[in-house]
Order: sequence, then structure tokens, then C-alpha cells
Amino acid sequence: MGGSSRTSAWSTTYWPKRPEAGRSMESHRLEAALAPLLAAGLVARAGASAYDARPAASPAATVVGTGAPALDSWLPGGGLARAGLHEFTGAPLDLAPLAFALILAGRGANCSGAGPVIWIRLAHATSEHGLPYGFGLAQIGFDPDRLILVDAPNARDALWAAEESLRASCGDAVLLDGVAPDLTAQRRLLLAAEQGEGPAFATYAATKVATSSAATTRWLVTSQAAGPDAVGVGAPRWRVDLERCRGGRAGRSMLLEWNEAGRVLVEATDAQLHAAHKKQPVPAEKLRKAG
Amino acid sequence: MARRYVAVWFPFFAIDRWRSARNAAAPANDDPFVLIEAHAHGPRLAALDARARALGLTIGRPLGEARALEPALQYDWIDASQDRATLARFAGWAQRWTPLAHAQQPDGLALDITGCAHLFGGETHLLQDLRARFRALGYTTRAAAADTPGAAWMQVRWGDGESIPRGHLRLHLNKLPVEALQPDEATRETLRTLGIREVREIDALPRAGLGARFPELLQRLDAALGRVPEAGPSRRAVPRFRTRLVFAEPIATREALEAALDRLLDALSVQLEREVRGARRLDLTWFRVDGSTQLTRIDTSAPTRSAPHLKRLFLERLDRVDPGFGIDAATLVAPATDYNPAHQLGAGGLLGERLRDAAPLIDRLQTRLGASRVLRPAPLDSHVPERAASFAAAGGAPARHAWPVRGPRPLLLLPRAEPIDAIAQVPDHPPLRFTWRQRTRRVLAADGPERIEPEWWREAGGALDRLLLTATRLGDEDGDEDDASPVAIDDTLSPDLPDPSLRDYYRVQADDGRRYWVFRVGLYQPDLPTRWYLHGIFA
Repeated sequence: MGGSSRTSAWSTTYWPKRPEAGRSMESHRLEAALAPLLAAGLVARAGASAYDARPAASPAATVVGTGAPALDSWLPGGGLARAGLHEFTGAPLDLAPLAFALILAGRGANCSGAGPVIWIRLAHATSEHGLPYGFGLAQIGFDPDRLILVDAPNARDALWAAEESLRASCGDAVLLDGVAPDLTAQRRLLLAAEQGEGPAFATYAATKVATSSAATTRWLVTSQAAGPDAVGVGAPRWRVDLERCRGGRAGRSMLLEWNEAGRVLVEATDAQLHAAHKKQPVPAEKLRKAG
Repeated sequence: MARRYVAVWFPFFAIDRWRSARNAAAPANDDPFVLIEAHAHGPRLAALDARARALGLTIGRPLGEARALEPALQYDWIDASQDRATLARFAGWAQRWTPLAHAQQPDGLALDITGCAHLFGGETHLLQDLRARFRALGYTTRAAAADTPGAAWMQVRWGDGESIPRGHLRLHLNKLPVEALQPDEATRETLRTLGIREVREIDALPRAGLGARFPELLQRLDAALGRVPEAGPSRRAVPRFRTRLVFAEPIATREALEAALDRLLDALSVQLEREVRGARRLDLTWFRVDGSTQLTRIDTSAPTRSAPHLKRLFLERLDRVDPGFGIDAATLVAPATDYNPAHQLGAGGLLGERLRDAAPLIDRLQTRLGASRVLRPAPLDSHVPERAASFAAAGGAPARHAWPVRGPRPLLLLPRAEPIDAIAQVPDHPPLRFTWRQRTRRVLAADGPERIEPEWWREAGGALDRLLLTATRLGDEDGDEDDASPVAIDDTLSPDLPDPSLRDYYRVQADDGRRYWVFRVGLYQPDLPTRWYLHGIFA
């Protein structure tokens, strides 16, 4: 009943092939009217309706810049490839990979303005970690009005939703949260990202990292305390390790800080780097000052 | 247009239904069969078959009397609720002939066939088709058409069951016995005394004189003759966009269903295009041969008339259709539509724009996962953190909201603030150490306090609370089967947290590198113990 030779691990009614755009009666009449113009090459075919048009090969960026030039220099092409799957792992219950992925997803706007970002998470993650909070999203530079949240009941539906969202190519990025895709799923997501032109991000706990992976890049992101000269808690800081990079050199590490005023990631300087590593207990005056 | 109505009467409805429920044909022997119902002084007859009627039995006679009359009487208990349900199901199935069909309990159907008789080859053929289909299901019917529903009703029950031609109402109704006008007991007595036996005589009575003694009879007669409008059950509006497909043979395979869907969608999108509208909801009804219907329904987040897109949405739901012994007709109706002008796409590759319409994707995700699982955040009018934002089912177009900046806010907010054990210097210092989910963390730095005062216009557990709680509950009003409980930041906090409460929020940096949002209640309220809670996690 229209299946491909690969067994789909996700759903028996899932159609792996993209259905071809239907030729409805509208398009027949339209074509008849435009036949002379089509023949003369003055009109190009774009599809039967807004819902079937494939996005044209736009001269938009094929990479998403991270905003930190040093970080961009590690990646081939100067940024995260749009036709790629980028994974962000971290310790369980650590929001650092999620926040990093959200900041990068928010940067994926192209010339026609900021489009929606689709965040797919599992339903039981709500009771464990909580719900995304619009005000908090705004404070890491992500416009909450761009968010489309998909609450998937299980991992299979989450992967289906991710692939559908990538193929639809109407969003700036697709973020799959809490599901560690296996090799087959990674390949499918890559294929969908290539067809649909949107970067695919996946965040999951570092314990589930597999040895063989098809991801374009994989990062390990951990939360760090703010530097010693920060007042109170200070700006959020993360240590990012590039564990895997296709077409580039992996194994590099950097400390990044989120600058809320400039809405950009900056690299923490060496002096702060040193002190952050030591993790000294903050003296009591600091605490009282905050209170 | 002259209106035409059809009344269908099942003379032996309960008996036929009892037989069809047991797959039993009429018994070979000639024993009369009745259905009985319980009464205070013993069972009484509730339904009779033809033989029992021929014996002179009537409804309401005690069973013992009937058995005395005819010892070979067979009987069984009547199931009135099943009868009602079956008749309602038939009314739904009768929509294969016309969308305006409803049941007249206990044993009739009323159809409005104005303007649709030609689809079945004429009124006579429609009635023949109707009688034949019900006979195939095992039900005896009498069906007749007339200019008014009242006249049709009377004609099938009291007349000869033939259709009344247009304009001949008076002629045919006058021949009917006066019982057709449903007189009550006292009126019947009066009529007998006066010697009035036929409707003709009632019609001839002077209105101001003797006729004034029978107001209800005259009212019914006037309605049946079409002199006054009939006060019937409220009409459902006939949907403007509707296509119908009847199959030569009943279909049951998935491919056949998809082919039928294709044709229906093409026809409907042409209709929608003519009126420059797009559908928001589509109902696809499959009529099975055994007298029941199956409904497939989809909703869209933005008006659309694109047949390929709608087909993709329907394909998700087509698995749930059970064809039974076969489907022989299907209708596709758009009950909800919106104005949807054609809009220009980007001109191919010339301008290099990317299509930003998320509505088709949202439709597909919502059709598969449920409308309450694809959401967009929206701010609410409150400064209390858990009430300040919520999620709503994603619509096609994004809304622009103002997200006011109040203070540091976490990236994820727990649906319920979790109590933690914390040690803090009194009176109002942030915690030095706290235990959350069985792990103790040391606090390295803290920001705050940010005081969040309770909303003064609420009392704890007051009526306003309950009202607002209901108003912010999300969910599909139709109750789709695959919708889980709506996703919302829960309005009810931990049970021992007084609500509303005065809270001091701190953003703390713990020694595991993460930042948490904790708050304290009860410091300034002498009757409450001081407690700490964790409400959210920062980036």
C-alpha cells in the first residue's frame, strides 16, 4: 500500500515518500490560461496552490552563524549548516544545551524575516522539568511569538513531527528536545533537513550518546558558574565542547557567556576562565550583598 | 420552490428491530407475536405484529387477557431505549437522501426532500429506493410524500400510504378519518356524539361556531393543509458547501475510500473557489449498507481549499473508518468556512522568498497528534508568574504579543512549585543550601529578592478564582478522542502553599553549575510557617 523498501520504524501509515502535488481542477484551468505564457518562458511553475509550492532555491544563507566569531571559525562554512543535524548534549536536568540550541535557533532568520521555530518535546518532560516560559525565552533572546510547541506523547510521534516540520520548511529551525535519535533516525532527520532547508537541532542527555552517529555536529554543553567579579549570579555561562564536526576539527572547547544587553554570545576572557574553573565558594559578603 | 416532505412510518418498528437484533426472520408458524412492558399490575402489551393486530389485540391490554384470548401468543420484553437509539441512527442514515431528516419517536421519520428528489430520479424512485433499503434491513415501511409534513404524517398512518400530488392536499386529507388529527379522549367522545367521522366534516365546520370547540384539531388541520406554517422541530441549517457521491456497488477497501475522497475533495474545492472561501472544518460521512454512518472530521488552523493538503489530513484519519459490510454513499460537508482570497506566492525563483506559512504544517501536526498538542505561548494579564503565561492551540497566523519584562525569569517553569528544604539566614537572606529531589546543593551566589505580591482582588479559593480557572482552561470543545489533558501552566500550586501568597523570589546559582528560581512564603505572615519552594530553572 505505497510503502518503500525500508521498513519504517515509526508508523505503519506513515508515507516515507513525499506525496506529489495533486493536480486539482484549479491547476488545470490555470494551466490552460497560462499555456502561452508558460511556453514563452515568462511564467514559471511554482505549484498548484500555496500549500504545495516547494520553496525556491533561495540565495539565503546555507549556514546559521552562532554570533561568536571564534566559534564560527571552528565550523566549516562559518556556521551551523542548514542542511544538517546538530546535536547538543549535556548532563540530565541541565538546561544548558537547550538554552544554547534555542539561542542558535533564534538566529536562523533569513532575508524574509524571522519565521516560526518548532520545538518538539515529550509530554512527560513537563512534569520533570517544567513548561517553557515565554518571559524566560525572551530573556535569552528568543522571541516567544515565534515558538510553536509540539507536545508529543512518545518518541515515535516526536520523530515523526520533527521530520514533518523539517520537510515543510516553513520554520527557521526545528528543535527536538529530550529524544536521542538513533542512527536511522539521524539519517532520516538529515535527509529531511536537506530537503526542507532548515537546521535540525536535537538536545538530549549526554548519557545516551551513541558511538556511531550521523550528525553533522555534536556539542557537549555544561553550565558554569559566573566569574568571580560578577555581581550576584551574573550572566549565564556555558562551556561548549565540540565533540564531533563533519568537515572540521573536533575536540575544541570554549567558555561562552550570554550578554543580555547585546543579545549575543561572547567568549569569556582568560582571566574569567581561570577563576571559573576553580569554583571557589563565594564569600559571605557576596551573599548578603545580594539579599 | 414548492416544498415536498416525506413521512416514513414503521408500523411494526419495535417488532422488526427485535427480529433484526436476533437475526430472526418471521417465524414459520403463524403464532402471533407481541412485545410487553412492565406495569404496576402486570405486564401489558407494548407492540403487536400483524397477526396479533388481526386478532383484535390493542396496545395497553394486560398480557394475561391477551393470552386468555389467544393461548398460542408468543411474547418478549420490549427494549425502549434500543428502539429510540435505532430510530435516531436511521435518521442519521436517512441523510443519504436529504440532509434534513429527523426521527419522530417512536416509529417515524420525517424528511424534507425539497429540491433533492431529482438526484434520485424523481420522487417515486426516491420512495421506492427508501422502501427497498429498509426492507433489505428487515423493516416494514410506509412512505409517502406531500406538500406539508403534517399531511405526509397523516397520509402514511391513516390514509392509503400513497403520495399526495402537488396541490391536492385538501382532496386527499378530507378522506381521512378524524382520528388522524390526534384528538384526545374527551374530544373523541364529543366527536362521536356529534357523529363526525371524517376530516372533511371538521373542515366544513364554521370556525366561529361549532369549530371553536375543537381548537387543536383545527390547528393541526390548518398546518397540514399548509394554511399556517407548521411549528416543527428546529431546522438545522443546510450547509452551503456539500458534495455527495453514491457508489454503484458498496465499497470497503482503502483504495476505494481514497478514490472517493479524491473526487469529493475536487468537487468541494471547486465550490469553495467559486465563493472565494476556505474550509475550517470538514465532515466526511460514510453511509454504510447496514443503516449506520461513520464520520471523519478534520479541522484546519487557517481556511484552505487546497485539495492535496486536505487529502493529506484526511488520510491520517481514514484508518478509523470501519466499512462494515460496505459503504454505498458518502457526503463531504464544510460546516465552517472563512473568507479566503487567493494570494500571490513568491514569483518562483525570481525574488528568492521562502514560504513562511506554517498553517499546513500545524494542520498536519494537529490532525495527527490532536489540537491541544500543538501550541503557541501567549501572555496573560497577571504578574503572578504561574498565571502570567499560558499556551493556546496554535492558529495559522502568529499573533504579536507584548511580553513585558519584569525581572529575571526562568527558561522552564515547573507546573507546580516544589517544596524544598532550605537553610537561610534570617530574616530575609537567600538560602545557603537547599535540598531538591533528594540532592543537596550549595548556593554560590544569589540575586534578589524580587517580591511578588498576591493579586489583591482575589481571595483564596474565592469565586473569582474558580471563574478564572475555568476561563483559562484550554481544550477542544468537541472532545476529540486523541486529545490529552490540555497543556497549561497549572493554576493550582502545591497543596500546602497558601494561594494567594506573598512571595520573595531569588535567583540562585548552585554548586552544580545551574541556576534555579526559588521563593519563600510566610515570612511576614505570623500564622504561616516559613517555607521555601523551587519554581523554575534558568538557562
